[in-house]
Amino acid sequence: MSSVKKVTLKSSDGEIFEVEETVAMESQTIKGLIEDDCADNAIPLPNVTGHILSLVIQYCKEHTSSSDSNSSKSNEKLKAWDTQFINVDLNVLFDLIMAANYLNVKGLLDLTCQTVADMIKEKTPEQIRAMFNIVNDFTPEEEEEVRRENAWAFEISLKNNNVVDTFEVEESMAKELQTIKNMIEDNYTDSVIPLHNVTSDILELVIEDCKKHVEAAESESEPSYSLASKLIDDPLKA
Amino acid sequence: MDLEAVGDLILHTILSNLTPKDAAIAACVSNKLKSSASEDILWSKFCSQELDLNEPIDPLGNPTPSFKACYQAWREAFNMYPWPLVMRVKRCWGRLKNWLSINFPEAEATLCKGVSEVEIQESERILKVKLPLPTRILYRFCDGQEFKPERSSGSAGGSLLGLIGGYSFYTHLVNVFLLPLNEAVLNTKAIIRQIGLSSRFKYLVVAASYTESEKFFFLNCTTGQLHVGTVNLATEGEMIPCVPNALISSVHDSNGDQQQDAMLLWLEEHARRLENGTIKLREKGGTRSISLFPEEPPLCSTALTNGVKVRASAVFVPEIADLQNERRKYTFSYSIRMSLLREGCVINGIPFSSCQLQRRHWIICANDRVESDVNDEAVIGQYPLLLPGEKEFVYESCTPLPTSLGSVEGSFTFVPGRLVDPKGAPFEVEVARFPLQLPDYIF
Repeated sequence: MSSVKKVTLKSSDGEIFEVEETVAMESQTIKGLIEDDCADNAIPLPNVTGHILSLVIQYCKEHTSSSDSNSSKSNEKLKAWDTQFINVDLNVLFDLIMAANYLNVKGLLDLTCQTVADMIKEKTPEQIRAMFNIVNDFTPEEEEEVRRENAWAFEISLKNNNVVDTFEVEESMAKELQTIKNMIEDNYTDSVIPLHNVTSDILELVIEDCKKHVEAAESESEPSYSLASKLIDDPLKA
Repeated sequence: MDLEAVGDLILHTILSNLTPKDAAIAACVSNKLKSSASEDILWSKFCSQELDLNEPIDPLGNPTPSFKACYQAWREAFNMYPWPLVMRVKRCWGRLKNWLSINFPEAEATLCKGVSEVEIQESERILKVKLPLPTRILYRFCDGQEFKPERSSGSAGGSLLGLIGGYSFYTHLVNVFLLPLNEAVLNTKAIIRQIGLSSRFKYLVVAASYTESEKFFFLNCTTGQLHVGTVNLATEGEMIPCVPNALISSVHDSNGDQQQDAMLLWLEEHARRLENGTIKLREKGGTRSISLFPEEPPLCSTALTNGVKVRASAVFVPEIADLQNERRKYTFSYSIRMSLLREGCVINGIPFSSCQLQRRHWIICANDRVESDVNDEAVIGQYPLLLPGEKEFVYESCTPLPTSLGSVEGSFTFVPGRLVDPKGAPFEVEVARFPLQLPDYIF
């Protein structure tokens, strides 16, 4: 029967923690100190408060016992524990990041960074600023430039550029629209009639409307014309 | 608590867990985040992961000043398409080009630079069609193959560089190229006029053989399915679908992320087959081409008898199939490859340094019912002499079949030595059964 070796850790605010050596060695920083034989007395950790240190120790305890071959903890259970563990307020989360970095606890650093990344995902710049209390320190010119450079990321408005929808309609129907009637009578045969100011969805509604107003064409060989709508370039106009 | 005060290293770690899109948005938050999110090491990772790029090169092949500018150029060039589909198409062409550069560089050299959006729209205008989304992106990345008829007499090398490849038997030879978009448009107009198809047909001829034997592939722009013309193409416009219908979806829907049309599926399948060796390059008369005869089991059978190895497989030949003729509904060509192992021909322990084919016994079945049982001299009029360790003797023939499933098997009678100087009694060499099967993907 072997006695479990322990080390003593002292937080910045003077709290003392007695921890099993194997658990403490989850921190590469502490591991280094132990191996260099500097750990006979309490190890002072001036950059970590007692509250945060207790959390870090909790994490290390949980993750040490799982690498023990006798432990039956599955990966899934560990993940669930992590998810619950990291459900803390933003201040604590950042303190944990700093502590994990200082103490060099890789798993905890990865977990905390991923959690912050998940908070940033799918948010707008405004939402990110609000969430993390970040000041918008761009000048108007700088902001415009950075938005322009990264315009592709603000996807929705750009997606519809350059997409052209064509609609084939019977001549009699197309003539319901006076503008188009004039174009046809000016002999725009065989080509696509471009309508720069009309979007696809509006054009669809107009065509539906015309259909209702026109009697069905007698002959099948009635020439049909293609009307092309070009979606409006400027993403700010609805 | 301060995201901006965590230090550059940690900030970099956090940002590397984001998608490129989120990283770009984060850059718009503040000066500090802009600086961190613009670090090129981050964007070199994104370019590598999403675009398989190790150098910052834009879609036109020009170098960009940074990986971030590179990624931006790609997103902007393709902003009219769903990005996951763009990445998928790029990967598909990447696989094909990679295989070609390693195995068939002379064919890789025929691939043309991608077309622009304007050129696609112009082609759509001329043909009054709307190309399926995946096909549009395929053309953006690569505009088919350039075909230059060889000027040197007798050499058919130029016409055997088709990316899709082909086969030959008797006088029938096909080798399928992917057509550049403008060629596709011209061919489509010509064929529509020739066959008399109504201009309501929303087809585009996307691939064809430049040989005397004709083979045409039509993309149905409305449904997204690919079809190949049968023997009745000119008279009836008869075609066979080339890709399992159930896999085709959302070909015109730019809002989904499951778009796949027959062109994309077909090329992905072709890349798979090239990569895993199901089909290989064939060299004949000093010229190389992609052969569509399967090289691997279960479609290719192998048998070894007394040192004589026979490999056999078949390929479906749609361009001479006749769906209206019960007996010739499906046509297959088969390739038989025979060789003699280095140890020579060994019969009951006695080695012989050569052997020669005398007769064949050939059984063709349709759905397990014997269609033909032939016992005759030679193969395609030849009596191949096999010497130890030499290249395979290959011959091709063809057979019609009334059903979509059948098989071929048989045996050859060989004599040790030579026919004019036999060194022993004739012996039977097995040709293991190989299937005749209408494939799910038709090339």
